[in-house]
Amino acid sequence: MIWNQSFLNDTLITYSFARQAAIAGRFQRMQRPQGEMYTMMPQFDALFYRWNMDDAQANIYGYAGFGGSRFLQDTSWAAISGIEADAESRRLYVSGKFQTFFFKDNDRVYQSQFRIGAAPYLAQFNELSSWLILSVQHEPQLTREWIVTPMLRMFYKNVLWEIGSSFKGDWMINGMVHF
Amino acid sequence: MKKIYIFLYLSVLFLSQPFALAEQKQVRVAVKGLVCSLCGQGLEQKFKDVPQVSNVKVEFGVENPTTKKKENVILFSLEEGKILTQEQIEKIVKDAGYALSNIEGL
Repeated sequence: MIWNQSFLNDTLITYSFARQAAIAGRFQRMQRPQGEMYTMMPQFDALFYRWNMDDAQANIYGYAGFGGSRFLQDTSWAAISGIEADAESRRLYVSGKFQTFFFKDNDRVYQSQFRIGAAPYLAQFNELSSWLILSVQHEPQLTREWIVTPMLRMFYKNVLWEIGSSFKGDWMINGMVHF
Repeated sequence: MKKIYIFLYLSVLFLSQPFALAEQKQVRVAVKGLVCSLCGQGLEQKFKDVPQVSNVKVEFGVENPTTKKKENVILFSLEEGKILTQEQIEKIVKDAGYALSNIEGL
């Protein structure tokens, strides 16, 4: 998965080795008021619980990782932990995510995100799916604090892409390929 | 006379092939939680990997002929004589992260 905004890039290569667990390599660039920060780490993902309903699905995930960071000419350790929940039917989608980066000297970066979306039409399995989504991000330690982004999500077979622009003009381009 | 028997035997053998191929069970598996084509690719592939299964197709919003309820289903062909049990199907569905609702055609 790749996530791209002017103040934030996040890249994850994830391998699901079990139904409820995956490992990932994660690289993130964050633009903080003091300067650019980079983190790189392996991450462990766990699906805590999944509700499978007739025409809907809901999930709670958790993840944690430990690796390195580069910030203000200093290389040090970094860690992450986060929790994520989502629920979707073929018509509606809602998700929430909260994660914290931990750095030396009690430095923290908190990131939270809430999304709500609707599909304008019901796509069949092998058709192009489209979603209109409103994304709200809270990034108190970055150069943007609140980012509200209306966006379009589309996916076809195993490829997903998202494009949007916040009300303040910050672009967003994300993508994912599922093998 | 012997030639006639051989001719008849070969004729029956030849003519029986298309009917044997046509004798496939159409199986319909309704799956709970299958709402997204991106996520459902894995489940479709797991059924395609089963040797006795062919013509795997996923369809959303298909009416159940018995209950008339709309369901998200996997349809596939199972050759006559080949065995795929309900437990095996349930395991495939569960391993892909979904839940089995019902099976028709086994």
